[in-house]
Amino acid sequence: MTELNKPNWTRAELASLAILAAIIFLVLPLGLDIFRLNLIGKYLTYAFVAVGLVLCWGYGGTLSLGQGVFFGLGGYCMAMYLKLEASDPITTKIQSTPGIPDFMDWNQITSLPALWVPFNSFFLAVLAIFVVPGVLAFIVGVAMFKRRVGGVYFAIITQAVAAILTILIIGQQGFTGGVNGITDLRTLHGWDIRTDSAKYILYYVNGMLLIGAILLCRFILQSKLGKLLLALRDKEQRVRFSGYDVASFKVFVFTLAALLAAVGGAMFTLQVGFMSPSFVGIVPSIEMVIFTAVGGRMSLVGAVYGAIIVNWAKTIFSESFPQLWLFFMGGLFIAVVMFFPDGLAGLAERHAHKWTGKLTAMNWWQRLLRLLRLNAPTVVSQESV
Amino acid sequence: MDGMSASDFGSILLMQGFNGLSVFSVLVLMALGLAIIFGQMGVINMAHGEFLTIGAYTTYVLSHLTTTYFPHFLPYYFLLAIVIAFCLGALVGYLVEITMIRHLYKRPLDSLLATWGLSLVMQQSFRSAFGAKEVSATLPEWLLGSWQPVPSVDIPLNGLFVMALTVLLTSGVALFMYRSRGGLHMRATTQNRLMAGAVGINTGRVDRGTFAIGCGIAGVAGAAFTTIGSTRCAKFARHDCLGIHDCTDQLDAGVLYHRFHGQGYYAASHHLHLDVATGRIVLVQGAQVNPGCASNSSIGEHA
Repeated sequence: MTELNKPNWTRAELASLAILAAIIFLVLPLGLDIFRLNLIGKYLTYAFVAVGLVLCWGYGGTLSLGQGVFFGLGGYCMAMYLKLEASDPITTKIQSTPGIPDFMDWNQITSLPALWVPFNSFFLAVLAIFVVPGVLAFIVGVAMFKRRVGGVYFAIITQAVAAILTILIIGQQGFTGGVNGITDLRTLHGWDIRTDSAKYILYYVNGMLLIGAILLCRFILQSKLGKLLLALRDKEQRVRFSGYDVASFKVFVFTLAALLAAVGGAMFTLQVGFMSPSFVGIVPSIEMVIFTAVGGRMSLVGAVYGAIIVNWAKTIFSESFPQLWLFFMGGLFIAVVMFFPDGLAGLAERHAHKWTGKLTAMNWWQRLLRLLRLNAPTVVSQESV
Repeated sequence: MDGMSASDFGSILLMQGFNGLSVFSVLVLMALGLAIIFGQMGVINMAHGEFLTIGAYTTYVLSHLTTTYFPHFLPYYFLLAIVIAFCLGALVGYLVEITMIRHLYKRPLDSLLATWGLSLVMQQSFRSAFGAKEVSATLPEWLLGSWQPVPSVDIPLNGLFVMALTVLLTSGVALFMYRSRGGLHMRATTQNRLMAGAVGINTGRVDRGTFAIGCGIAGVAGAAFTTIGSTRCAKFARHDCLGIHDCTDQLDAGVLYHRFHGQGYYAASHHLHLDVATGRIVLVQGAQVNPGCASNSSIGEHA
């Protein structure tokens, strides 16, 4: 408790984090059946991307429209391991080459490609979930930021990266499973991920990782680095002239956002049971930005709500009014950008100020005491009269 | 292959080259509007493809009306369609600028997101109004034939028409930008908004005009596309239109084929084209971006 009560944690921040944790760990699991909870788990994997974007876009001012790339790479690394585990020679004995994933067999590939060999090892696969997206983000970041490419240009280039990766995945069907992606995943290191109990466990692991990610990002934002991020968002030249290497900070925050997205992607694969290029391309990548925008681009906790609410709405709409979904999504983009640039978090804060403005002077029980003390004399005076 | 003489090979090369050139000129036409908006205003219009679609559907509706009610007017309707496509595109663009874009000039990333939202809304509107099925415009006779300079070479007329339209429109825009008062105001506003305002230019009106012209040209490009679409499959395919418009966007804005998930590819050549175009985008942008005065470089004109 003393750790948490360091002056940099305000009461409102603690409360919002506690409420989020309570919703994730108690309210939703108790209130929803496992099917819906699994859906929420899926939405929460997008929240990793949204939290990363708060750092990269909200604070750093660098909009990436290619977060699906890193989400997808993390997911694919996990899916490749799971797929190899699911394709042991006994279950795949009807194939012409037993022991390789089924889609490779359909594409006349007769031995496991070298690219896939490391994914036989659980350790290497987990390592790859971080290393592959991290290195790609680092390379893209260095290539762009060192040349001082930023803003809209950077956004477009990340979009091009997303398009390239999708084309590559769809084109190289024998190596990647093509447009269907990697499906029919069963076990993680011998543990069946399709059972209800596994889904509960994965949901909780996902939730804890997410809270951990928020704490990590919060730690960064509280540090000097966080202040610098804000500074370079607002006055990049001034930060540069103060002697800071602006590009390195941007590369760092972009890579960090990519790593978070990759963790989300890996958890997505585990909870949903497949990975496909439809989570990599331009459209999903832009949708990920809207999660952050709706939740509040300056709020780590808000981004999680944004991811949950937008995806929940998407599920509801596509179940009931599929033709209205694009109207809703488009309207949301326009409305958030034009009228609520700070998202839900901004709205909440504005309204909260109305009462916390009165409350902050003293805490609530002091206020209550004051109230009682104020009331007491009047009661007495009335009696005395 | 054995019987193919050098002259046959030469004429195939010529025709293929011509086809490539006519597709290229449609792409230039499509990119022209975006180049104006992005180059002059620094706004990336993610809904540019939908403005193209406005022009294409205008042509379709007009051809439908003409064939139903005024069949003898069929040879001329296409010219009218181009004019109406321009006006409709410009009108919608004008309204969008007033209601949305002008509030976002200081936030370019946000204008990118807002226009993306606009594109979603417009896509669904088209789908609700015209259905998801492909529709085709009836082309006038004079666009359908081909011209034979020598017996073995066929040059399709619609390709020639589109090329002529592109040359006309591009030089018109260039004349307007560099030789007219309106163009002068436009360039002044781009280069120094404050100073332009100070010397009495109504910068708000210039912005609205620029955006409307860009969108109008997109409408014309959409109308022109209906002719090229007909070279391939005698049909103006809505999805193909979207596919092409996306790769146009991407020609200078990098929106690449944002709907190919679930819709697949049309042809391997198309696919290759996309790959090449994407690579070029990265190269062109990498080479072009000049951080200090990024808003002045109009990538579309170089692409």
